[in-house]
Amino acid sequence: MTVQPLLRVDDLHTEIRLRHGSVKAVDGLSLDILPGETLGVVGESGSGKTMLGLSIMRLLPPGGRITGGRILLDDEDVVGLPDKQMRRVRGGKIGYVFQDPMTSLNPTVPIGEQIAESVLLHQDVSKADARIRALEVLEQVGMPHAGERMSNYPHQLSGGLRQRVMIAVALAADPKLLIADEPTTALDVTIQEQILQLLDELRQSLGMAILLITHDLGVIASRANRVAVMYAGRVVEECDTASVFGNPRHPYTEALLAALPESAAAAHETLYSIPGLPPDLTDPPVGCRFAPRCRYATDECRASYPELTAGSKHRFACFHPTGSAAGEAMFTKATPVPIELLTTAPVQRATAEATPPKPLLQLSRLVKDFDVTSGALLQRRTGKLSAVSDVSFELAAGSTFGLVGESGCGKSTIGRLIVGLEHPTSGTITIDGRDTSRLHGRTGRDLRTMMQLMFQDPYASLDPRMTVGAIVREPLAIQRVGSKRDQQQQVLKLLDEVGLPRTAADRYPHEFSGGQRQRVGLARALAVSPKLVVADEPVSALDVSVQAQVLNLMVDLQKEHGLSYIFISHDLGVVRHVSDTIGVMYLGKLVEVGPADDVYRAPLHPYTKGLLDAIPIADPSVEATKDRLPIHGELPSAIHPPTGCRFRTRCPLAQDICADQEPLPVSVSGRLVACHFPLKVTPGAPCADAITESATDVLGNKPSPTTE
Amino acid sequence: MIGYLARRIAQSVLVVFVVSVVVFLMLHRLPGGPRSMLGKTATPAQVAQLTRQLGLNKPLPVQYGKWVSNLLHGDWGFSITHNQSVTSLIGERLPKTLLLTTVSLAIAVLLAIVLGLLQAMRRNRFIDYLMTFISFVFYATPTFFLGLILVLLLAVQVPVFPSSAPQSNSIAGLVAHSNGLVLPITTLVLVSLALFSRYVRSSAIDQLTEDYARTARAKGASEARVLFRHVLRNVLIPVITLLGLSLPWVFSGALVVESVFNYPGMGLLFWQAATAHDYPILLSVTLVVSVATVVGSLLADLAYAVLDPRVRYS
Repeated sequence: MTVQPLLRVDDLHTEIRLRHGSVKAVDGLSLDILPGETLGVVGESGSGKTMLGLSIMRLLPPGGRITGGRILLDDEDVVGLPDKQMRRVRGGKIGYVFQDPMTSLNPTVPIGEQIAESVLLHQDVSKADARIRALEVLEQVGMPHAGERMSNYPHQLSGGLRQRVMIAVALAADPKLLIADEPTTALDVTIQEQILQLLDELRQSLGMAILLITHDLGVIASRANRVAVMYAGRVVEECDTASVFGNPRHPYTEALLAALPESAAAAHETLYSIPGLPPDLTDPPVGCRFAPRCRYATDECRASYPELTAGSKHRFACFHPTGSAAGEAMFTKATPVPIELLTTAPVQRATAEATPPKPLLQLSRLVKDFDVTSGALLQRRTGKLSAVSDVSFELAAGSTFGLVGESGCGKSTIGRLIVGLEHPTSGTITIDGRDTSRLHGRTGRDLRTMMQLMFQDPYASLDPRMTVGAIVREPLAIQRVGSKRDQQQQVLKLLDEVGLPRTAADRYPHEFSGGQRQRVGLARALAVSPKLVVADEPVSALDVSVQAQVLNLMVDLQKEHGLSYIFISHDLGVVRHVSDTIGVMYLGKLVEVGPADDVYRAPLHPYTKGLLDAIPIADPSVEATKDRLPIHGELPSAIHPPTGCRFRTRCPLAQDICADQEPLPVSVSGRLVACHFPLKVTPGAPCADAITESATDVLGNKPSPTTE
Repeated sequence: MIGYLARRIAQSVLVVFVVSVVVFLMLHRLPGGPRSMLGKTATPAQVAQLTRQLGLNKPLPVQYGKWVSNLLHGDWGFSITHNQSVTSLIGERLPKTLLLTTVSLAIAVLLAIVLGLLQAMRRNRFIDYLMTFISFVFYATPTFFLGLILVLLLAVQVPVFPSSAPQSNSIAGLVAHSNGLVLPITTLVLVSLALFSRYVRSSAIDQLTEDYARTARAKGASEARVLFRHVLRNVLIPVITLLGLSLPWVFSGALVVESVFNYPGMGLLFWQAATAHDYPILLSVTLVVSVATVVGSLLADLAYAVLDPRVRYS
């Protein structure tokens, strides 16, 4: 090794003491970070990646301590440093960017002061000079109107801007190493792209190294020079990014990549899922920690732990490595988007209407406004927040409609409208030919059983004081389906279907993992035999390997019961995998609707294209060839949405007409797109001439001009 | 901020109005009236005339209006037991109670902050358990009993402080004999200490594990700096609200303490009026305490807004 590493972690052991035993969160981990490079550490929750970052800073949570090993920063072991010297390291030599910019900044201190504090703690400067430096860093991280923002409080900024402040706090004292722990997980993809870009630029201009900790293989593929894959407290594979993704040697890495929805050859195809769960680190297995879940495991794997291969560039800890030692790419993943011209003659949706006889669900010109109120005693209505604006689509029985968009685009509101948790301001929702808004009482309750909701957060959406059996039985009890005995029988049947043991009925939610809880949520949704399940971000709280299990289950149950899904997610990869049709939403508007693969492969709307570009793909070769159409800025307010096209403020192709006239959905190549300048179906080169098909909305009606 | 202020003031005015109506109705339901004033020998005509003179034949809202107008003009009624107008009595006693309660509250809160932060830093260690034990013993002891024990220990057995409060008519007089105030104030501080210190302790423990505190440590801030620069302000926000809400509780404490130490404040006045059935005083004190509580919680909310920018800028 010719270059002296900036940071060397050598056989690190970190334990967290619990009431019963202690968790060996990091267990014999070694890695180097070279000056100026980005080292990506990737792993699922509980793999110890965050504990690694916190160990380096010696900021472990209560009960946590480093029990062995060395952490050499410029040849100085920080493990034994006295507190006072350690404080020089924190912030001064190593900056730390935390995951959630919402909670990681002090709510009661202006941001300028929070940044200046970093300077004051490490440099011998006056308060005024620290402020000047703070402003300089704030400009450096791309804060618009930085001077005015200095006196703002965190809650006055959006999530993306807050994360910029967090980065400024970490950078203010010129650290040589920046540890970014899931820096973009709490952000939307378009903002994530901006933040990752910023980190990359700062790394180059400041010559610092970045330790990028994330669960997202895509983020790593697009930004890291080298990757270390962690599993159960250890590094299982480490090499340059292209090799790890192109030629994974450890079966865990291979399995992780295979479990990504993007890896499936075709939509609805069963995803590779890693069976089981990561080991309990209070009592880790003797042999390879991945052995119980590994498809190549032998007795040797279970008996002794394979050490990381020494010396070679591509290090891995496995007795039966996958891939090839020669290094050529064995594992080829989704190749760059093939150039595929779709039919040039536009297929009118109206003509195809003859085939599906009657859609299960129809949304017609759906509008939902929320009142914005203010005033002393009488809450006066001072404005309205346009959450859903003139949305129409339909869903055939037995199919899946995927709704994608960033937070605040109104996708969850549509889900709540469909199941009747909100009432539309105008427009209709028809299920099985009946208008849901006109049904009350008994008939309304009958209709309810046709539609069920599946929630995002498997931790918060199950009552912790109810047994799993009671949770699944509750919908049956409310709908008075059969006797109590029948209901209990039904619960057991449902548990079988979602792949949970029957004994689960008597246990409580906290005894289950996230993936198992989502199975409970699915069983609860299916209890009353609905025809339609509205799944609101059902897998976004889950790890990749577990996500694949839940997605497979959902697809299987759909086939079995002829279910229809409305699948709401911010993750286009997941949505594409499960959906027949995708609807892309932006600020309350449906901007593009079409068959899942077409939308994914050749987006027509500039927003869809931008969204796709922003999603990091877990394949460095795709990342390198991406022809980007970046989306700038932040989501505008839905209280005063932009005139004309709502996306125009962030659209790279926007022209005057976009501000004056709202683009109506037109049918292009069998798809609907609401844009004055839809992209050609060839990837890349956007086309500036408007396609002037006769405008036809989803229902085949000529839309009336919108009143503004 | 302006909107928030206006909203809170409007709410407070409404609450004061409701309180005044309740007090008025209580006054109205009291036994007495022209018949008992004139005695058994009075003719119905005389009773009717006095009823007219006093305006008691008018509809209730009109009577209420007149009563409020009298209140605003300083006519709060006359106390027969004290042979003095209620206004002058309250004017004399109120400042003394305010002195007692504000000094006690200020000391209790300051001590509670120090104690609570100390306990949070040393949580689940010996010093934390010890402080918890002691503050709970005081919290659980009835106020009069604690007062009597203090008198026994510090006035009778070891006569350091006088057993009763100075009987001066002026605030200056009370302050001049401040050693007489030590025991009443100590009693009030000790009984309310746990209320605040427990709150500070748990709030500080929560705040110390918040992400922003970790960010401050990651900047290289020392634990003391994290505590005083970052955490303290966030800890104080809920404590301020608690302070506003604790005013009725503090007054009830003052009532007992004043009667134990014979301290010439509102509490003692109320106590004596209650035993003597002196209704004008009872109702006036009720009204004053109610209004003070409303104003107190209004002030607490304003302080809250000053401390918390999330409230200030919304």
